[in-house]
Amino acid sequence: MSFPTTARVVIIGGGIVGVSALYHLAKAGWADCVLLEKNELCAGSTWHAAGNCPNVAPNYGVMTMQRYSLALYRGLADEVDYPINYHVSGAIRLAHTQERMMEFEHMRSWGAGMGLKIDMCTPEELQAHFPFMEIHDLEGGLWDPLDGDIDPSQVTQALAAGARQHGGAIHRFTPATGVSRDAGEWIVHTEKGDIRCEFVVNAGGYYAGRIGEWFIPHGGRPVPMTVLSHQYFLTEAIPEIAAWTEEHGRKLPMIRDVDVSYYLRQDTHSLNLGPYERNCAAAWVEDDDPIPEDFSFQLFPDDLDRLEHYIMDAMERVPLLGTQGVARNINGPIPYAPDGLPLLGPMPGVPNAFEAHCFTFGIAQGGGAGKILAEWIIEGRTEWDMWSVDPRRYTDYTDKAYNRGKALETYGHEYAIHFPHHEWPAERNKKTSPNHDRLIADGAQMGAYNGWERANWFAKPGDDVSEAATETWRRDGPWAQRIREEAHAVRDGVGVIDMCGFTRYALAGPGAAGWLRGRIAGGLPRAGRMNLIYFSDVRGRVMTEMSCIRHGDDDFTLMTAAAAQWHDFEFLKAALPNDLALEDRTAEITPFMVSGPKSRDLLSGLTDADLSLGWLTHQNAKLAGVDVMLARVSFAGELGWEVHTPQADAQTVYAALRDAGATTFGMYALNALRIEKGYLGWKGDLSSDYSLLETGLDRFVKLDKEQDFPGKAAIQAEADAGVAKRLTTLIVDTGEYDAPYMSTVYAGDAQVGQVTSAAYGHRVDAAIALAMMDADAAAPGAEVEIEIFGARARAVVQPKGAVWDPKNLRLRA
Amino acid sequence: MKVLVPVKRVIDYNIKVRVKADGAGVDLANVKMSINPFDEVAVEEAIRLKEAGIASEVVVASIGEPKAVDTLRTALAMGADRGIFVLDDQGVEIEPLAVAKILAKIVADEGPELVILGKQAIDNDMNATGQMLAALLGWGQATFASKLEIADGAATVTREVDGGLQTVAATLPAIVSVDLRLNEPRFASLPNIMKAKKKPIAEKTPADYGVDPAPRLQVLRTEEPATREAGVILGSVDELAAKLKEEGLV
Repeated sequence: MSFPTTARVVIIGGGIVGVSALYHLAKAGWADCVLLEKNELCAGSTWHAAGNCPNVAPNYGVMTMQRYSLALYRGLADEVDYPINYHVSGAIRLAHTQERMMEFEHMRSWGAGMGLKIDMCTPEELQAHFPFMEIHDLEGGLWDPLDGDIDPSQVTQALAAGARQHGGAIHRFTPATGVSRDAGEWIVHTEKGDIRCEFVVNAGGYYAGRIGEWFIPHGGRPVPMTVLSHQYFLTEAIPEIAAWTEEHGRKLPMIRDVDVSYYLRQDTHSLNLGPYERNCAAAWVEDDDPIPEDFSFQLFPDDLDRLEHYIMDAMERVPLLGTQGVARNINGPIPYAPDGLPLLGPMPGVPNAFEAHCFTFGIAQGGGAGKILAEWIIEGRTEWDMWSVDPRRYTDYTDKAYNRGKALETYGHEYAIHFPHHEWPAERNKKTSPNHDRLIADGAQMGAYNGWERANWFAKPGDDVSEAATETWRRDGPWAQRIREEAHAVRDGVGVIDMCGFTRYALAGPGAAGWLRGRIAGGLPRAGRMNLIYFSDVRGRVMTEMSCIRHGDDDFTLMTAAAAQWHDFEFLKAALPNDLALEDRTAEITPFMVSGPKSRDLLSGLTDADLSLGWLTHQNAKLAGVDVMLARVSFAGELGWEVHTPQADAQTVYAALRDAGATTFGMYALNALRIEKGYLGWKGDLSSDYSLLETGLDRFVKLDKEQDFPGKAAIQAEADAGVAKRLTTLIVDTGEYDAPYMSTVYAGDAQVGQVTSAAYGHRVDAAIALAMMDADAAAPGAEVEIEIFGARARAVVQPKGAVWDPKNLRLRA
Repeated sequence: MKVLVPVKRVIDYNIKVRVKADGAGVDLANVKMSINPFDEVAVEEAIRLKEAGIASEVVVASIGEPKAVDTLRTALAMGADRGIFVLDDQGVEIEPLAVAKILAKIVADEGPELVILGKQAIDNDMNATGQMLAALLGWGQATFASKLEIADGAATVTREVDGGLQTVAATLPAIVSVDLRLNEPRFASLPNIMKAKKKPIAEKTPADYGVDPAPRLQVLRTEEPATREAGVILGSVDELAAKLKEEGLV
């Protein structure tokens, strides 16, 4: 095979993810793609992976990806004629607490929503699945019959065989040595020559950070990752297990004791124990411990001491574990992003470059990751919303200490429950408001939003603000009464919230308005006014939402969610004409939301602004002697203004608002307030899994406007045919728990929808859920049921519009 | 009868050895290390002697950097009774003569009747410590053992030599260096790994034995073997013949 000089795509890295990407590209007809591997395929983390293949994941996007992988692997050996040892043994997850049982109930429910049959188990049923297990201290568990394990090298080689059959090229022992850019194309340098290509993929596994450095001169950033060491060990053959397998003709199911934090799996006739230990270790992070040039097929020193607590626990669970010798310990490098989820998608800041690394369950996710990456490259979008793994979810606050501290926290809590009122404590305060100290003094309990610390709620003296208090699914807790008080203060008086980190861009230049009209589904505000604008893709799906403030004909401020900062910037930039200027001004301005029926009275004492200007207007004014912009809008759904304040003056303005009597409120209260108005959350309710029309954004779509825009034809077709699904507000008869994300909605036995967000509305005194429902089940007044942690709660479909102030009279007051 | 087994911590036999970029030696940073496989065989043999009622106590000893104590724990988890750890933190590898001198002092302290040790360590392949120790002690030695029997105050050892097997007898006390075919070492079970943490390990230094561990040899350079050139896949015997001719090989 002669060495190529050109290719459409060059993938750097021959682990399961890179090879799967090549397979999916080739299978889609993109045969002119090249994979470069420094050593042999699988030489990084793939070869020493345990090969566990779960369906279930506590994250919707990841679960979708894993489900796809498993379906692919079940047919792959026959498809490419490459035998694979794949044992679909099933797996049980063990629950030691009621809170864990509730998590399992929810996983079972959303699995059912995906067509997966996952069952809750009693301890006795768990023991029937795995007879060698002690159960006296268990609450119960979860059984997934499609779980199992696969040989990581074989599945990678099978994907490689498939890729080659479709024309993909794999060059082993061919290290990439750098990249450069020429005439809008990439040149990937190797020891065997240069390859000119259109797209390049960093699938470098634990070397992704090193490869990422090559892209920094081209607009890239240091990759937010840390290499950790994960250990598992194999015992010698255990006669009792051999006999069981002989008798039953199959392997025992895998055990995941998630509350203790380990997996235990049969491997041939032995056991494989892999803990996720709290006292875990990072590698190659110090300056005097650089990552070696080559670590192919190498391992770290054994460190069983680190695992002692988990080993002792597992031996009590399955006493057979201690009866034979430990034959082999595997302590290998594994790359972790701060949240332990992959970095999969466009490389921020760099044209035509993609990331596909930091897979901590790479074997289970590799198949799906290849599909998603191929879609990004070929289509520029993915079939499923993959925001949870999008590299752009991490922006400029991810320094080395953050990456390391968060990775260690995530690894040590790999199986931990993510409770709705819990904030992970490691590496906080990366970005703070100028008012941070004052907020803390006022009792603020903080949450991190794209690195920015905002108040979730304000505690009063005596409130339990411990982390332990947040380890509950219940709506109730020390925060509950405070959220209610904050919401009522906004309803009856005036409240203020510091929305530091609210993403803000300036867009200006000749033709800016015309360009925007060709991008958005609806219309633009007139100068001096503002409104919401929505962007869709060619399928008519929701790409993003922005607040659009128009200063002049071609002069705009665009605002979007904190988390969307890099995603939306790149989304705009990708189609931006050269003569328009787009700048990120997020760090320059602190927006305060001042909301409530008394907000006009309060502001009139502080500002010279014309407070009679109507809803959705804006103006520059003096407030407390400071130049601010006032925008008459309220995400809380009351009379109110946003006060956009230069960072340097943020303390002065906040002090003036507070001294004049504004009550502080936090993000939890804001969430409760916005859901009563049917306002949508970014990547909860607003997802590229749904179309604009399904999301109920009809009034922001102008199909009769002269400009074409992405998705116009698709939306027209959908409008003609009628929508199949509709985002619907439900009032839910639920006592203690709000419906978690992706709770399944039932009409009788039929699944008719999934919850996208839920909260208690303190103004209407009712639990509210937003759900994407089958349109014919979403008639106002229809009664349905939402499965909340295994219990069906009655819910009633509300008329289209808000349950609070549906005519917007309070907003317009 | 007390048995002493010296053990060494070496780079794991499964690991591809990398030479440091500056050629100053083998890169051991963050690399998996294990008990020298020959020494593991020696430990196993000593434990079997104890299990057979021939040995009364198995003492293991190791010399090296702080992490080398892990190697003693491995031997203790297999079944050795206690350990002696001689901390040598000089940062360069200790040489066989210094090791043999320290072991000779340990023998003097402990009074074993039998020293069983690996015939060589897989990292530097010196194959010298056992022989030097025998010379220092003035004891008999039987090297490269593939079979060992203790009876009537003597060790009967079958040795693997070029062309066959040789059986020798050494009067105790004696030194026996072992080959890989002597036995198949056991894996320690988890309960035994845990118990090993509580077994005693005496901590010493070379100074305690009056031995200067400074090296006498100078390493001039360390290099990796030349990389093999990539092969080509040929479609037929005729092509192969043509290729061999073309390369001037036939």
